[in-house]
Amino acid sequence: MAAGRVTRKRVLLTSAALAAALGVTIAGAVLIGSQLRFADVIHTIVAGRGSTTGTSPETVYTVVVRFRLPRVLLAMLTGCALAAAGTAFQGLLRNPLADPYILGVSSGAALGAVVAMLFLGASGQPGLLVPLAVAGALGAITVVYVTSNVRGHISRHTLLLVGVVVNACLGAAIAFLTALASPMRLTEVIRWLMGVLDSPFAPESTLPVLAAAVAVGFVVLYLEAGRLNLLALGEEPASQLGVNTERTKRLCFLAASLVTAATVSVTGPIGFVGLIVPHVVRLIGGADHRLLLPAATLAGGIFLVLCDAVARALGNLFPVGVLTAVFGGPFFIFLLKREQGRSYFD
Amino acid sequence: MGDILSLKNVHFSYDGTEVLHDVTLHVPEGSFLVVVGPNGSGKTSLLRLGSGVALPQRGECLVAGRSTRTFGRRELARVVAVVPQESHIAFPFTALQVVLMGRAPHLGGLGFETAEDVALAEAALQDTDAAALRDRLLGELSGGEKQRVIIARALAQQARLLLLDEATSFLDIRHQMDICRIVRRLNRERGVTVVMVEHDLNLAAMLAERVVLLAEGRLFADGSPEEVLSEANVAQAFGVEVRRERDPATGRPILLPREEPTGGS
Amino acid sequence: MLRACALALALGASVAAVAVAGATPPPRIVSLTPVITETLFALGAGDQVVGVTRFCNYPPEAKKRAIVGGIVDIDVEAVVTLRPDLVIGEEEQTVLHTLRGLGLRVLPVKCQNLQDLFTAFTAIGREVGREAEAQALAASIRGRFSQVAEALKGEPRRPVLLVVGRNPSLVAAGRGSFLDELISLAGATNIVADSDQPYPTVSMETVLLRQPEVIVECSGSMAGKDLTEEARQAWSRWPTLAAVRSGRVFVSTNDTLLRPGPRVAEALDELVRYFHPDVARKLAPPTARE
Repeated sequence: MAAGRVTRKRVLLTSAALAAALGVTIAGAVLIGSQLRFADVIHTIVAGRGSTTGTSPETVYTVVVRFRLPRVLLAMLTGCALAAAGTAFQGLLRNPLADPYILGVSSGAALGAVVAMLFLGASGQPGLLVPLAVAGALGAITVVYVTSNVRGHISRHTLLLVGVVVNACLGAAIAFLTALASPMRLTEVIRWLMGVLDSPFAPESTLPVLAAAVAVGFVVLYLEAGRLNLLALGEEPASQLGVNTERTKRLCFLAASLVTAATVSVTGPIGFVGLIVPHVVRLIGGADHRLLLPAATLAGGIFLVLCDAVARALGNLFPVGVLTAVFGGPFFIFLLKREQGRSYFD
Repeated sequence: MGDILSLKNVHFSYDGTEVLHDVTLHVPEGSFLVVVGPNGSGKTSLLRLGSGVALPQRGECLVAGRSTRTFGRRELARVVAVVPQESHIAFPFTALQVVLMGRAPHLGGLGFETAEDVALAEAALQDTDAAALRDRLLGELSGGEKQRVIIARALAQQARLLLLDEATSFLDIRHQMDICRIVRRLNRERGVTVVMVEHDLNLAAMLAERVVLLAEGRLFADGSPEEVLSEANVAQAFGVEVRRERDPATGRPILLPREEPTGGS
Repeated sequence: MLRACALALALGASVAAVAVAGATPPPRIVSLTPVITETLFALGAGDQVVGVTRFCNYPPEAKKRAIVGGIVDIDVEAVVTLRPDLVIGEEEQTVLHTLRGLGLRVLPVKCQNLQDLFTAFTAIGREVGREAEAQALAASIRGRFSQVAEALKGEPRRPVLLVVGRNPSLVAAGRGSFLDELISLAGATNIVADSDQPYPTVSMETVLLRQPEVIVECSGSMAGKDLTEEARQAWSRWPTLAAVRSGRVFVSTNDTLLRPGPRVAEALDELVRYFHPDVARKLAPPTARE
């Protein structure tokens, strides 16, 4: 089903359509929650006063605009970031099983976050969690990058190996630290590690900064999109077609890692989005990164906003990471089975 | 017409081992050259130097009169195209998309292909009798079909020099013949210079006007198939005793092993 | 003449009181932990509580209020739509930050040990204008502590262990927890009084080495009925333990042992019953409050 060649027009049309879909999804998601009925919210917006249940307009405003909207926007940015990073990592590593966390970024962020939550105390320094998580993520990225960079050549096998080792070591460190936690703190740590969109630790400036990070990362990755296509042929063939492979690998690794670090530091590692969304979009629209990257990015935003809306409608009982798995997994398997018979991966 | 590819006293080491030792080779534009030699004799390294992927430690490798060091990668890719032994692609791209990748060194701006690029790609597929494979995924194709698509990609690159690295190794005889025919036609009709690394000595003898024999990183012999593929040369370079016959139809030499494979008397 | 003045004063005061009471409705309060809920009701402010957690089961009236979630998964929308004037939660509950950010008035309290508890009574009492009741509550609890201490003078301090859960290893009450303090007040020594954390994981080895004479499993009211049997069976595998041999393994389903709250004196009484049954029998019942 993988469609034919990618033209500028096709990219623009697809992106516009997906962006519109994203807008609609956000508008709808903001109207969904655990308490206020859909009708109440519409009534308030339209009539400008409270509904029959006695919910005042101020309450509706507080819930919809000050509580739900930032969270929905965060879901969108996170979904976009994870899908973009996942696409880039899969292209960079030429490995369809790659996800944004494979190279250790999320473990680094998690370690920083766990240290903040356990030792600095929520009441004491809530603002320290995000910076510490970012520091942890950057530390992990540095270790992986420096270790894999041998005489200016980045080997993707080394990247993968070092990533696995970093994940294992940091995971052990996190497990060790959690053994020292008090019961209530422990529950919050575990929740964060499953990925949360309602962390109170994110400062006011989170959304704009995250948006900027995702935008910059996306632009850098998109400029390399054509070269990622060529990289799929292998490094030597790509080089023979004019690609500076070391530069492309370096740029993609850094951009994708930084985008991942930015979101994971705020939300914890939300799984499945970065692995599955690029695959699904690739199955539908083809492997050309010039279309895949923007399409997957927007689709990731739509997907996570939807999952988060469901999570909130269920009264926040499940972390959003559970829902991404529940929806993402079976859908992907369904799509894959439908396309079986075509040898997708050489 | 000058040399499209020249190696001058080239020494090349890889991973600490010297692979090419003081090699000097001139390839005039429009010629058809087959490079043979035992495994590890440096044939692949020769091609890697020619495509600019590797640089010699000593000596110079010149493409179209300029050292490969001075070329930008895209610039060099507009002159030299490579067909490797095997091609794998990590993701589901169609044959047309793969051939379009050959246009990459020519694309400007954000890197979207123009109608002209597409036309060139389609024409390249025609030239390699692969037009029917246009919308098939590369991963679904047989070895022979894949190689034809890769050659089409090299064609779409509009390169002046085509380097083939044992490109027929995994193909059955029919596909081998197809590839050879296409490559020869490119050389004769389009003036594309061909440097083909081959392991099959008889194929080399049949195809080439000029054969270069590499052994242990050195240029062992350079000349017509008659001159280069002598029983003595083969014995010395490959360590195998052969009998040379002549093909009555073409007049080209044919080499047959003298020993019994089962190790008789 | 004096009587007329007193009457006038009383009349004037009650009119003023009614005026004030009628002018501002009492603040609506949402409580985010069972201890806070219990405290609010104990101070007489139960009517002001509009939202509780699903674990808030005491007093029974508390169960009738709107539920805003559990302890770690508080539903922010539920809290906001209740339009509380004040939200009281445990200091460690990070949701307080979110609620504060949405413009709600938030009071974090600490309830980890006994001193925290008395501080919390005062803080909460001040918020709901019942400082006197808060003082009285604290005083009556302290009074009971002294009564018990007096009765236990001269009694031997036995080594004991309080188990609060399994993860699946034993989790006990250690140094820094309110149960540890109650153990001392109840005339015993905690075999894990030297722990690094308030609720340490304890290996069976430690228990076997330190030989507690009394073991109490604090399972709370939410745990199932079979827990009692399970616990007894688990311990009966270790007949070398003095506590097991002498049949001094107790399972308690009272929440008071899991929450340091207004009923902490009851928890102390219960522990004294386990550790010093003879003294407990002779001890006068606690003086009735309200």
